[in-house]
Amino acid sequence: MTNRLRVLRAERGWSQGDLAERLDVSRQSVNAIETGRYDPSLPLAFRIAELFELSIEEIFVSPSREIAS
Amino acid sequence: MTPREANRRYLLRFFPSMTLYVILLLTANLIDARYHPQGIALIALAIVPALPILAVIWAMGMAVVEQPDEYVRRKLVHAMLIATALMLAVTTVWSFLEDAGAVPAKPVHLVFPLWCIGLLIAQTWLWFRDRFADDAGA
Repeated sequence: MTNRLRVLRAERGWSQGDLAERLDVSRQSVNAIETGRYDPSLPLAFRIAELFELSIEEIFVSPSREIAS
Repeated sequence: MTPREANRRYLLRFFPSMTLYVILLLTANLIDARYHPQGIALIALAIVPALPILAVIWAMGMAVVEQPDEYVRRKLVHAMLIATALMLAVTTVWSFLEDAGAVPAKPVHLVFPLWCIGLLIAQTWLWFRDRFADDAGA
């Protein structure tokens, strides 16, 4: 799933390790999500959204909308 | 529990079990050679070295259950499925060769080590796949 995680992280000057620590996951999880190789569970998606103080839709692009655009 | 703690727990279960396996296997072989037990005693002696292997299988299951990182857990399950597929493929082909009389009867006690080799291959492959994706995404 396409997402803006890398951009949001870069805006805050965080490394993947920093973000992983804040989310309490491994760095490889952050990398897999950023590169679209892994879609996080709903609880993890909410944790990400709450950390960036955004809604899930503002971070993750819905696959159906992605196809439409 | 952190992923590191989960791994540590797994290793703390795995290595003592394998050490116990070696000790029990050597002891069982020694008793068998010296006293030649029969009946129930022989069955018990044969089963005892298998118990630590059952503990290793349990530890592997717990490694999945206790892994708090959902992506790492998914990768572990993925590797286990690949290992199972490899084991089934090898034993199925072997069975057909066995039926044709081309190879001897398969050593069933080596099925679990075969699965472990498959797991190692799968985890290595997944690690390289992540590594290349890391390089591409960096």
